[in-house]
Amino acid sequence: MTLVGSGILLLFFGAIMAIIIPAILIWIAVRAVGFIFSVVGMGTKTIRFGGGSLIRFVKGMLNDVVSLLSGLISAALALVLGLTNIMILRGKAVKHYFTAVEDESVAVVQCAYRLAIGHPLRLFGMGPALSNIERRLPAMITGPSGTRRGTSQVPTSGSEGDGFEGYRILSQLPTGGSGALLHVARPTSEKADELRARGIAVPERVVIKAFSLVTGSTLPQIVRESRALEAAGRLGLVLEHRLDESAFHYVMPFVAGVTLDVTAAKLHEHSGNEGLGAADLNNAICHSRDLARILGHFHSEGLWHKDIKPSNLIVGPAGLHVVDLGLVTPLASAMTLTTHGTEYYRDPELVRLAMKGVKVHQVDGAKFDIYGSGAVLYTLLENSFPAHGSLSRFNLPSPRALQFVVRKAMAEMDSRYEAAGHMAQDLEFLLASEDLWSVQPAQLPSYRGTLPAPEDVSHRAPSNHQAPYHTPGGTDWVEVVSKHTDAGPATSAAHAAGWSSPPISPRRSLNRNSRRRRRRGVAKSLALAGLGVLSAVFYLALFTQAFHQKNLASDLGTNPMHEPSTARPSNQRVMPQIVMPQYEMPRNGVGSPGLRSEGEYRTPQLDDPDGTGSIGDGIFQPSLLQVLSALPHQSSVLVAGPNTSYASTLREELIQAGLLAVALDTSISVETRREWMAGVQVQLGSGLLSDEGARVRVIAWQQVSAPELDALIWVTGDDPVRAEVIHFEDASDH
Amino acid sequence: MHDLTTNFVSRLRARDPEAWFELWETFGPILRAQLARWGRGRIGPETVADLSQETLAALSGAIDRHDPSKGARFSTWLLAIAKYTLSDEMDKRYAQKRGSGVKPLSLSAQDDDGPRFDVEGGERPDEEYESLVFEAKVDAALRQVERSVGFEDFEAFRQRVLEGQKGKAVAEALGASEATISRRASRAREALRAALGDVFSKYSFTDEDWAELPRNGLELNPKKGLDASFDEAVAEIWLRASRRRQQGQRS
Repeated sequence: MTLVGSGILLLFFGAIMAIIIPAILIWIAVRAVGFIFSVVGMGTKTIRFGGGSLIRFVKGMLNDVVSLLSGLISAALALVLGLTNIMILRGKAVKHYFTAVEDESVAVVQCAYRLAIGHPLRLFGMGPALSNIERRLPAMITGPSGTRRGTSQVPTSGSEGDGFEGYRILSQLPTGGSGALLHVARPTSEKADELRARGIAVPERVVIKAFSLVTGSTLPQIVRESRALEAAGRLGLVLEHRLDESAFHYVMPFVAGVTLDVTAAKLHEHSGNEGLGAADLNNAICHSRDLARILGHFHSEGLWHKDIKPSNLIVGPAGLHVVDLGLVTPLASAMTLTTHGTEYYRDPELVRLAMKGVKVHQVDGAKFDIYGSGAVLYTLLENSFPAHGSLSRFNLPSPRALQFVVRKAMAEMDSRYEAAGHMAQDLEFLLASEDLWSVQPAQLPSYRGTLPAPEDVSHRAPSNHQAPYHTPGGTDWVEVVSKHTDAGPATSAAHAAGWSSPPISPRRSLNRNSRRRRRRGVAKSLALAGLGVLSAVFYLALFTQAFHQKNLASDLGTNPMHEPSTARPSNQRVMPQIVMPQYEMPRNGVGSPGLRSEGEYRTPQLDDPDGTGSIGDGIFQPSLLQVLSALPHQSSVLVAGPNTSYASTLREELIQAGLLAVALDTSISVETRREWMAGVQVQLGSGLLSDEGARVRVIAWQQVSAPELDALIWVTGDDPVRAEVIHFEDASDH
Repeated sequence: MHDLTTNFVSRLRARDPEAWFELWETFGPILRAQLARWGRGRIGPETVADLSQETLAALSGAIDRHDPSKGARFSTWLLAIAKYTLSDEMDKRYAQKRGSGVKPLSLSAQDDDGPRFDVEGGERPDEEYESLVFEAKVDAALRQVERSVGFEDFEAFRQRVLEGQKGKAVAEALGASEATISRRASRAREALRAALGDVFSKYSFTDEDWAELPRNGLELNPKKGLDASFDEAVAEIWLRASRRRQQGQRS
């Protein structure tokens, strides 16, 4: 035992020593090398950096030797191929190969330069000087004369006043679609003082967006970016800008945060197919409301953002920010409308107008931003973009009124919100409501017509609207408009807008009625209550009569015909009809086979084993049950009728219940079903199966045109819903 | 061929921007979906977007040479050009890679040899593609209705027919009586019938194109008794198209 223990201990110590000893040896070796270098006068510090330089030197030399050789081989091969193609007179190929020779030659020369000069000089600490020469020399040779030094080059991290006077470059950001270079920078103290003197709030960090003809930007890009600068400056989006004959840059504040598409994904992370929960829904509405307010501010300043989409919206600690000025256009511009923007967030109407050559000032650009904000709200609710445009379907549960806001924002131009502020007010109304899910679209301020005129809304800007920020935001860069508030994203913007009235809840708005109106309401209620009592007595009598009829029918084994529904008052409560061959299915889901009503879901009650059904909460439906039970498995039962929504619901529910392969047996093609439906409809028109003539016509039609059809459930009426059943086999026997 | 078809083709030939916009709006998404299917693994979404524009540009060049009386279906003709454009792009890429100077085929080659996808790719218009084209036409008609009838009428139609909500629920949502909702939905339905006729007239070269309407339950003959069937068919097509687009997003 002791021996084994000793063995394990020895093994353990052995393993530790096996690790420690090599580490000590390596350390001693490094120290020794350091000592040697220090002996030759380079010092310990030089060794630390020099070690790295040495590795880079060796690596660079090896790379370049390999590149040089491969370049020489490639150039030689391309030269041979080029010459061969000259002989066979293939012009394009010759050009191609000689271009390749040229490229390879340049690469070879560069390798040779680095091998002979670049790497050795860098090894001896002359890297910075060499970098400057290497960067400036090609620009000097290839750039146009008179190019300003400062703006045509790419500043490096840590440089100060090199590319952009007054700013110290900290890092670079990935370029966006515009191709501009993006630098994160810090204003120098002199620049900060200068900006403060001009009344500009100085952010800690800024983003400099730089265009240069030398670095590949084009003149139209520069013109497009520069045309809204003055107005953008007024909005605090741009701190300053500079333009010369070949380059252009502007400076914006920087803000950290995440883009709204990321935020939307996070909101949906836990909800799955259930749609957003209450808190997330609230946040989504807040973001959307903030967006509408910021857009209102843009529009009141005569600007049109033109590229509203989730990736251009940043959620930061201080709320939502709208970013990317690349397409910002003055609303009164005399330029021709362009199709720029992002598909699915851009109104197709914009493209149509642009293709017609319409001028910007001839359209209401603000409405296109509103379309984009509707699409953004859709994205927040659905976690996907509106692929079907304004016809996009809501696949996840969300409040109806909120869906309505999306549709109103994405509606046809004339029907769309008149101003972004109107959309903000609808959203504010929803935020203030006690139960978001119970608010009907008809209650929204925009629907009730209680909104102020667009001009009254658009000219009131958010009171604490401030300067733009910037964030790397994933793979793309952004410039942002920030609103400084102390509260978090979900609540901050409630105080940000200067134009909106205090939140009005539906309840409060209803309570705004005058006393007189209230008194009138009380009187009305009393009258209705009296009427209700009378109706209840009447219905009770009817109910009793119906039961007598049922018992009589059971006793006699007959099928007394039911009176047509049109004979009853439309608001009459539906009594259970247990006669063959027709049924009535009451609304509100009471005992109906799985119909949905008022958001309620009820499981089909058709699997009653003894066929007796149940009374009580549910309505007794033995006849339907009996018909379905009597049908052989896989029977073809057509569920159809003018009430298509109930018919389709009933159909689905019956199939889901797994009782029988009702109606949509997979062997029945859609075309056949449609033919049947059309056939039945032609025979019945708007009539009922309870109409003897109509029944005879349907039976005759079935025998001729649809002999494989076993039964028909005909769903009609809206309130009450009626479901009549005919079993063709039994019916033809009769 | 229907007069409207002839007029529309004439407008395309005359480079009427509105006509081209209609074509882009209606069939752009289909071309993207189709090209993405074909180019899976070979080209990215950005290229697909570019290609669909190129396809329409190619269409612009080919439309002058197109003779609708030859009897090809509109969808087949569009697909031929889309496929050709993809082949052309792939040829260009390979040519650039190889530097072989292979000349990309021009569209005129198509007229001489017939659509290349028939010959080489073996990719013929399949059922899914035909469904996409049909759904795009119905979509176009729905958009036309959305533009022509008022917001309230279309909203009533959307909620009542497309979404299949109950009359009472829609009435409550929109603050109107059920009878009003029914009237509004009815107006939109009639407008849709007219729009379907208009759209199918524009994008149908053959009787087979036209037969798609009744085959899918969209009877344009406004018999009152067939309204329910018509509504159900529209709702089904809309639902199918929405699901398909949603799936497209996921993929």
